[in-house]
Parts: sequence; C-alpha cells; structure tokens
Amino acid sequence: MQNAAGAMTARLAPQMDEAGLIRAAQDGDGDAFERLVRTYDQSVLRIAMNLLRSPEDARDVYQEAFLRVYRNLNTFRFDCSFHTWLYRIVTNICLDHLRKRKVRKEESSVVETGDGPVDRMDQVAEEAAHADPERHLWNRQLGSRITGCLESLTPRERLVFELRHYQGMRLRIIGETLGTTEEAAKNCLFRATQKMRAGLGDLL
Amino acid sequence: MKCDSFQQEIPLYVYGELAAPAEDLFEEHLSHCGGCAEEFKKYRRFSSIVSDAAEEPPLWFLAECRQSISHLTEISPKRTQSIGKTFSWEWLLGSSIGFKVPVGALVLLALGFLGARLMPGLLPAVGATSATSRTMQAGMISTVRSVQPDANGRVQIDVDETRRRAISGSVQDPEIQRLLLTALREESNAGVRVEALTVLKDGKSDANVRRALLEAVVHDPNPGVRMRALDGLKRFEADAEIRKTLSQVLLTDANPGVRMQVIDFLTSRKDDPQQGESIVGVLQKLVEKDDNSYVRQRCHRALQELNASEGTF
Repeated sequence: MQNAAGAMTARLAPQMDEAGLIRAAQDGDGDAFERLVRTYDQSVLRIAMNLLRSPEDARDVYQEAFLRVYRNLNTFRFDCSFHTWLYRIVTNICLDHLRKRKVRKEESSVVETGDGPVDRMDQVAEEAAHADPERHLWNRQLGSRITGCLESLTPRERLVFELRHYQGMRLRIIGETLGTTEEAAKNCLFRATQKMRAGLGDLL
Repeated sequence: MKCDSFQQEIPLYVYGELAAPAEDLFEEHLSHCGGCAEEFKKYRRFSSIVSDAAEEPPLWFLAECRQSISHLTEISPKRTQSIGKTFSWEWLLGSSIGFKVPVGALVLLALGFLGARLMPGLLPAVGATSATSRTMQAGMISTVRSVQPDANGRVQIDVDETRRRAISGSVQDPEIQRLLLTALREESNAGVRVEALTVLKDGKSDANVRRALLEAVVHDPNPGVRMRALDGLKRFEADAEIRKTLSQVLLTDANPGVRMQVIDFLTSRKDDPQQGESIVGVLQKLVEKDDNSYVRQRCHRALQELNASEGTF
C-alpha cells in the first residue's frame, strides 16, 4: 500500500522551489498552499497595516487576498513572478479600500472610547516598542503626524510610497504590479514625497 | 542641468533608482552645490523619520490572520465543486468577506456537528494541519496515513496513534530543558518553537541553550522564531562567535525585520571599541546593497553613531 505520509514528505521537501510549490498547490496540495502563504503573508500584512492603518482592514485585506489567490491559483501561468502576481492582487484590494475610504472620508485609526481616545494601531503594536517607553511615545506622536500626511496623498501615491519606501520594491516592479509604467510610478513617488515633506516640514 | 532638476532626483538617488551615469552626475553636483547638499540632507532626515514610523505586524496578529485563512480555505470552492452545485460557496467567499466570516464559522460548526453524528471518534482537531487529519479523543492523537478503497465498496484506513501527556516541572530541570530543545525542532509548528524559545531565553544559559538559540537564528524558516531567538541571545552579546555568526546572518537573512534586530544586537555595546571594528564593514556593505530602505537607513544611523564613513575606500 502506498505510504501517503511518505509521499507528502517527499513532495514537501525543504528544497522544493517556489515553482514546485505553486504547481503542487495548483494540484490541490493544501500544505504547499500553506507554505506559499507563509512565505509572503507577513509582508502582505505589513503592507496592509501600513497603508490602511487599521488592524480590522488589514485583516480583511489579508483574508481577501489569500482567498483570491486560493481561488485563482489555477489561472496562474508563470507569465510573471508569483510575487508580482500576489502583490497585484494585494495592491488592488488595498486601492479599493483606500478609494472607498476617500469616498466616506478618511477613517482615523484613533477612536473615542469611555477611557478617552485610543489608537487602534497601538492594540497591535510590537512588544519591542513597549519595551522602550520613550521610543514608544515618540513613535506614537510621529505615527499620528505621518498618518496625517498620508491622508493628503491619493490612494495610488500612497501605495507607491509604501511599496518603495517601506517594502523596498524597485519602481519597475511597482509599475508592473500596478499595471502602469516605471515612469508613472516614479512621478507618483515624486508627488508623494513632495506632499509628505511639506506636511512634515517643521520636523526636517 | 539646473538645481531644480537635481533636487527632483534626490528621492531616486536615495532609493538607488538612478542609472549609474545619472548617479555620478548627481554626486558630482552635490559635492560643490551647498543648496542641493542641504536639500539632500533634509531628504535623508525625512526618509529616516518616516522609516521610524513603520508598522510591523506582531506575531500574534499574524497568527490570528493565518488561522482565519486556514479555516476559510478549508471550505473553498476549489476542492468542493460537487458540493457547490447545491450550495453557493461563491456567495460565502464573495468579494466582501467581512460579514460573511461569522456565517462561514456557523456553516463549519454545522458541518462539524453533522460529521460528528455520522462519524463519532473522527472529529477534526482545531488547528489541525491539512497534511494529515488528526483526531483527539481522551488525549489520543490519530494521524491518518493512507486511505485505500477496495472493490467491495469498503475502505481501509491506516492510522498512527500517539498518546498525549502533560509534563510539568522547573525550567531548570534537565528533562524539561531537553524537551524544550526538542520543541525547537518541531518543524511543522512555529508557534511551539516560539513558546519554547520564550521559556528558554529567560532560563539557564548553558552551552546547549546557546547553541540551540544560535541555530534557530541561522536556520529557522520562520522570521518570528528567528527574532525571538535573537532576543534570547542578548545575554550572550559579548560572545565573539555569536557576533561573527550574526554578522553573516545580517548579510544573508531574507527578512528585513530580522536584519534590523541583528543590527540592534551588534551595535548595542556602545562602550566596546572592538565592536565597531567588527561590524563597520558589514554595515557599509548593507548601506550600499540592502534592498530594504529601512535597513539601509538603520545602517546609515549605526555608522554615524560609530563615527564611520558610509563608503569603503
């Protein structure tokens, strides 16, 4: 009798490359899909949190992005890298969220509670930041100033700035991901940095 | 080219997006134009301030999200197309999932209840991996290894059974220590590895613990585990071998969060003149080549604190 566990272990050997994982996931291998998710999901969540500054929205983006990947993985034909394909999905969902927000006015991460104003982002803040109260306070003040500046950007400017500055993606890849040119991404980045710098003027 | 044009290129220069000739031209202009040099300095300050406000999702939040996606994909239409004919999974997993999650949970609950009625003793465990079906009954874990239907319409299922038991004791207890070190090799469960590291990092600091922490930093596939192991190594920060290994990790680890933490680790001994000498070369390489701007900014700051130049001569 075939040993299913043995076969599974062999298929999921650590040396399996990304293309192998994708093909296995396309064939319905749940573990391969899980490993693909775990390769990228931290950076997906980071993008969503930085862009949307709301843990609930970040979680929605995370779920929706990976569900779309799961449902559409069979249509992935290796025409571009998996990374670019995934980020195209993530950025589209983020753009939708940002555009909806623009329509119903920017949603602040600070909410009023019975105990006074609470920043929802603080509820998911890193333990490391709390270890240093001075740094934490500075980060909070800075965070709210930067959030204010980000509100002045268009959704696309915000996305390009996030991907270039925080995620370290090349402008060429950002252009590909957003379905535009490198030049357009460059112009977006330029406008975004201009607006951000104007907003943070007194700190520079 | 006029100063206006150079100043427009500052962000591109900082992000390493200028082509080599344009970069040379930019540097040459900067070396003799006070106005642009001042503007460049302001941009670096802006870049550093913005980087400081980056949000890193904490591990528990990531774990929550992973759990939610794991539940949702288990009922995805991809593997349940025949069921989809009578029940609209598309509706359940449509574009706006926010309010549908509780509905999905209810459906799962109902399926679980029905399953339990039909197959007592074969209940999927919460958090079970998709590689194997595990059951838990009175501390027993069963892992289905193979399913083989025969010609008579019957099926043979091979099951491995493991009994679970709780072991408690002092963290200093050698048996507990041994189990904690074993837990670090639990490949399929990063959560267990993090929990084990959390206990180990505050416990006894013998050679085995030191080696296990270092191995986790270098080899663990999960960045959260690597970061927790780095926390544990703090008490060995003067150890030359650890510092040397971490210098390599700094150049090879794929996760910017880990690289940031390694920089913090390696630059924490401000009073030690030798630390500067050992780390400057690595920081200079990163400032030039790291693909993450936050890491490059951090290296830049660290080099400034060490009174070292950014470039090599």
